[in-house]
Amino acid sequence: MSATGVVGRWHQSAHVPVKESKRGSIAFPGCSYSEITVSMRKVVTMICGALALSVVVAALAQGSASSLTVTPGVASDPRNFEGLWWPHEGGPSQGPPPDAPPPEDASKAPLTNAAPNAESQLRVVECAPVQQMVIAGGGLASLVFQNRREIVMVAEFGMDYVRTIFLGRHHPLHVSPQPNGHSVGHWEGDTLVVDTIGFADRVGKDRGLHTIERITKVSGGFTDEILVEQAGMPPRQQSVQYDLRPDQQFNEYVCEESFDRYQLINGVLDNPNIPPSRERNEE
Amino acid sequence: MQGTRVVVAKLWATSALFARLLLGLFVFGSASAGTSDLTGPWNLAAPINALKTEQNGAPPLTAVGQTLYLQNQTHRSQDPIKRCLPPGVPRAMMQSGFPFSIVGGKTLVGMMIEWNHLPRVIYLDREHFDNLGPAYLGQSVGHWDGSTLVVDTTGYNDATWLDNSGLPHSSALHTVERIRRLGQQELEDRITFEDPTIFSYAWTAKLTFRKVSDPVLKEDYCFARMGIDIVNK
Repeated sequence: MSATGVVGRWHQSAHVPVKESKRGSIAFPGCSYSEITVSMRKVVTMICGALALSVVVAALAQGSASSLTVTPGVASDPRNFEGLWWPHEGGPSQGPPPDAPPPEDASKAPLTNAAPNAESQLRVVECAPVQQMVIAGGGLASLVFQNRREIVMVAEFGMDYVRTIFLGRHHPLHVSPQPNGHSVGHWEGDTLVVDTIGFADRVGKDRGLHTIERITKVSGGFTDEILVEQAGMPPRQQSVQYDLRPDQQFNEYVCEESFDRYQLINGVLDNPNIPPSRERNEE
Repeated sequence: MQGTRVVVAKLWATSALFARLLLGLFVFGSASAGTSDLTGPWNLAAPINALKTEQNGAPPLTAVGQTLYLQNQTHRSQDPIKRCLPPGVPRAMMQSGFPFSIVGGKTLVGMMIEWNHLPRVIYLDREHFDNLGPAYLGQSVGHWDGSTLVVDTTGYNDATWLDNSGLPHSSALHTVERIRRLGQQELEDRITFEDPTIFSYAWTAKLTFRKVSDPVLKEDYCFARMGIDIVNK
């Protein structure tokens, strides 16, 4: 950023000791008039003027950048995943079911297209994680937040998939298992390499899964190459692809609301003496 | 010669002052460029049951607002969060023991709320959507005003309470938040509520948050935490 360069120059000037003028002239870091010849004054004046001008330009640029509501370059930045992503049409859209029994040659078998088992269906009803590994957004539209320290992926439907990838960090010595595990990432060129451990099972016990993902932006989207390792099973690989969809919206989905309405309809909810909410009155 | 020196000295003094002003301007600009200043998990500095105005007064309720407030206080079992429904804004950030993490980038700011793993989305690069239905967390757009993130939210439904005491609102609620750092460990959210149905005039509350040392939020699932057995109920 040009403004950063300007700051650097001022810092360099600041490294030069400020000296008091013996003749009462005013000194400035790097530009003390008391110790320079008259012939040099014009040169220094020009340099200082140029510095001041560049600071003005930088400050104006900074101000205009802050006031802009559209930030160009995010989509074209290979290391910026911000935005709303949809599963690539026609591509695999489901994460691998680690609970499914391994096929005969598991290393070649796709990790997708396995029907959810009874356990995972139960988890959906409970508004809990389905115990299927989440990859990117778990095959759902996903909103990605990003700063230099972390990347957060939020799946739209279900809201069960909120996944944080900590950048430039290692896993802690003791990872508390969580349904979506603990993810750390680093850059290899423009590829984000994500290492995840600490996937919790239903009772919070570590499932012993380890995934390594290589996420790379491609034209209009990104690919996620996933390697899944689990003790006693051959490693499995899969690739999923997402498209950037700035034309689409991220909608709020509240799983618990469905259950609430179900109970209301079936007369299960709450004490009948309690008046229904205003929203229900309207219904 | 002496005259020339004086002129040059004055010129130099003027330029030095100008440069220092610009330097100050730049430092201020640097602080405002990006959301990294707000990044991190935050927790309410002190538990708040009922929101107060900045002057520590009661919110200016209309007659309708007073009626609904009394109703909510009387029927506390109707508290939406007891059924694991989203607490809304700002209550979602006010749940004791459940921090939220701000993750800000160039076009989006996310508030990842630990309570039932709720994501709050703030768009920095667009105006309000005009075709989204009402939502528990509303629809938020934001911009930077210096080092303060200004968040404008509309599109709320009326199914949440503004605080734990049962302060109501209608779907006409409009909030404007000014979120800024108050040093390394504190975050301030000055939130202005505008809702002609419930409040007789717009009023502002001030929330203060403290930074949480552990950057990893727990994956909280409300039904499981509350011990609500849906399948067998």
